[in-house]
Amino acid sequence: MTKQDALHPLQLRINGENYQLNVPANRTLVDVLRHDIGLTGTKETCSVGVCGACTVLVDGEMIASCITLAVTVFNAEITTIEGLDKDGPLHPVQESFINNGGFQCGACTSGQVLAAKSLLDHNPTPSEIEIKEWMMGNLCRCTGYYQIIESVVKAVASTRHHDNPNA
Amino acid sequence: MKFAHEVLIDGSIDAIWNVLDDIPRAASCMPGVTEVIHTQDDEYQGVIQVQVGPMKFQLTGTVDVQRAPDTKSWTMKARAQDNRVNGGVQATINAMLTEQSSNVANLNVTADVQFLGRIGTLGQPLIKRKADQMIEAFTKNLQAAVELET
Amino acid sequence: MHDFTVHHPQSLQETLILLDRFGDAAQLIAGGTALMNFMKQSLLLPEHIINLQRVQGLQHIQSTKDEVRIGAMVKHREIEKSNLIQNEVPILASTYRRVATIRIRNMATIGGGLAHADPAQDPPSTLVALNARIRIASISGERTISIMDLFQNYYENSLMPGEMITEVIIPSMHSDTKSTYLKFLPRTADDYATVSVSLIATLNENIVRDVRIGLGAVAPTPIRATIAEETLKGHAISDELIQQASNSVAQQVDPLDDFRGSADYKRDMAIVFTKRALQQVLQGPS
Ligand SMILES: Cc1cc2nc3c(=O)[nH]c(=O)nc-3n(C[C@H](O)[C@H](O)[C@H](O)COP(=O)(O)OP(=O)(O)OC[C@H]3O[C@@H](n4cnc5c(N)ncnc54)[C@H](O)[C@@H]3O)c2cc1C
Repeated sequence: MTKQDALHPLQLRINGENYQLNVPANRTLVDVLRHDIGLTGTKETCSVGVCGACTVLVDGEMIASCITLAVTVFNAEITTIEGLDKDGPLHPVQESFINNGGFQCGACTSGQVLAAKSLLDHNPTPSEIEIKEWMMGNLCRCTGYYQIIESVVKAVASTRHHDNPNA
Repeated sequence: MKFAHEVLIDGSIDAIWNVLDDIPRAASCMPGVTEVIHTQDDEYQGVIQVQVGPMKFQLTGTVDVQRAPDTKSWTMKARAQDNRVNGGVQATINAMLTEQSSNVANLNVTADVQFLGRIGTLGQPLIKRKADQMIEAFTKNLQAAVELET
Repeated sequence: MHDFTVHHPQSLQETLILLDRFGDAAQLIAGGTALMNFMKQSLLLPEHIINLQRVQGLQHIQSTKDEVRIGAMVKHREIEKSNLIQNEVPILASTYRRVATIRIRNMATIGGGLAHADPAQDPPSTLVALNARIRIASISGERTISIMDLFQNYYENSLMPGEMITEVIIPSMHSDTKSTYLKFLPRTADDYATVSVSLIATLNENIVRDVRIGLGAVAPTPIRATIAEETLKGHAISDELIQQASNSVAQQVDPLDDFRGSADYKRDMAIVFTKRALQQVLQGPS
């Protein structure tokens, strides 16, 4: 329970690390990530839950961090873009975005990559139609959609190759 | 945003005009009006609460009324503000009665309303519909007030 | 956003006490997708926010012999993916699947969605066609209402101060009942409907035994196309009957002019989409 003058205690687990914070009750999750913790990979663009740029994963599921009140996040594992290459190499989706020109200005990229990662975690072998359906909620104002879809398609192919080198 | 409404009110034109010309009384027919005070000459002060779902706007402001008893009509210029949500309205409202028969009169209401600040974010179509609903309720209440009068 | 205090009750009773105590000064937060946008625009400025996410007992999807019960905090995405709902009330799973994007559906709850009462939402017309009932609790007790009595006006529900939705109760569909949900999206795939139609019908050979039609985005609340239903019931299916029933919805709709189309256009589209739904369900392959 807090007002601006009495901060709200908040415990978050982000990319495998624990954070103990005291934040104003009216902070959005994206603001806590960017301003209080300094994880600026998450972008805020439309601010109303439409565009997907601020996507982070909460227990593996995509949410819009711009319309999430930080203090409602509880007992959950948050994954941001910084979490994907934490153990060293880039995630196959990140590799594929680089190799296939999957981004231009970059504002939507963190959200696109996390959406694609979440898709592959749920369904390692999605069809192109399934990819389009899943990625439909991540907007790219540079309209680089072909390359984004191609990046995900190729990421699927590369992970299949990893899983089964004889395939 | 412009509004135009025309309704038939049962009652003699004089009885209806009596209610309509009594500004605090006419105002009380508008749903959400909580107080109207005559401040000076043709000036009134009032508060109206407008609710759209969980959103409540409390508009406080002043109204200037120009009466034209000869034509049984008046024109109001209203300016009201909700300081909490930082929004307001500016409106010019014209009401005119014309006799239809000895006990039915035609009430013609036209309004030109500007929504300022936050209230505008609700979107024009929704605001217009809400205003239409309020004017409809106003005419019903006016009819009831006229029946009390006669 | 403005300043407020957040409360995290663990039980329904605790929640109801807080609701009673703070009254008008409080707003519940469920998924937050609607509330956060209102607050960000300063259209709602509650001093207290009561977080439902840790409250026990609002997360269930259960079925008995003749009904399915869904706790108020069940998310759209869970409804769409639930095997139980896909089997017992398939139209409900397919309707929730059409809401916004996966990201929003991972957040938005059935209770928050209904309390939001925007007539352009997808679930209301389907729940209206399903004759769903809404369970409501307050500190002084409980009541259950028909979903038709929940919706009052744009964004306006019939909950009294201190009341909240705890559960949605849906009569199971008979195995011989057919249904469809059509959402007309002329703009983008993640948009709200320009018009939507929820149709549930039971046939006896070529005769319409029972039919319920819910329409969304065409009036201040979701509506039942009762004239069309009466036109169809007990009659043999024919192209003429379907056309006549579809045409009748024009008398019952009362749409807004907005960027999704003029009122006239939406009235026409309500006819077209009712007809398509009827053709699909009454004349399609069984
Ligand atoms: C980008 C975007 C796109 C959207 N597109 C669509 C769409 O295509 N189709 C569609 O149908 N909808 C759409 N929506 C609307 C969405 O369905 C609603 O925002 C959502 O269902 C609200 O649920 P919530 O759990 O997030 O509610 P909240 O935002 O938490 O709450 C909404 C309101 O209900 C109250 N409330 C919450 N729970 C309860 C309860 N149990 N009892 C009583 N009151 C309660 C809250 O106090 C608040 O006033 C969209 C929303 C967004 C942000």
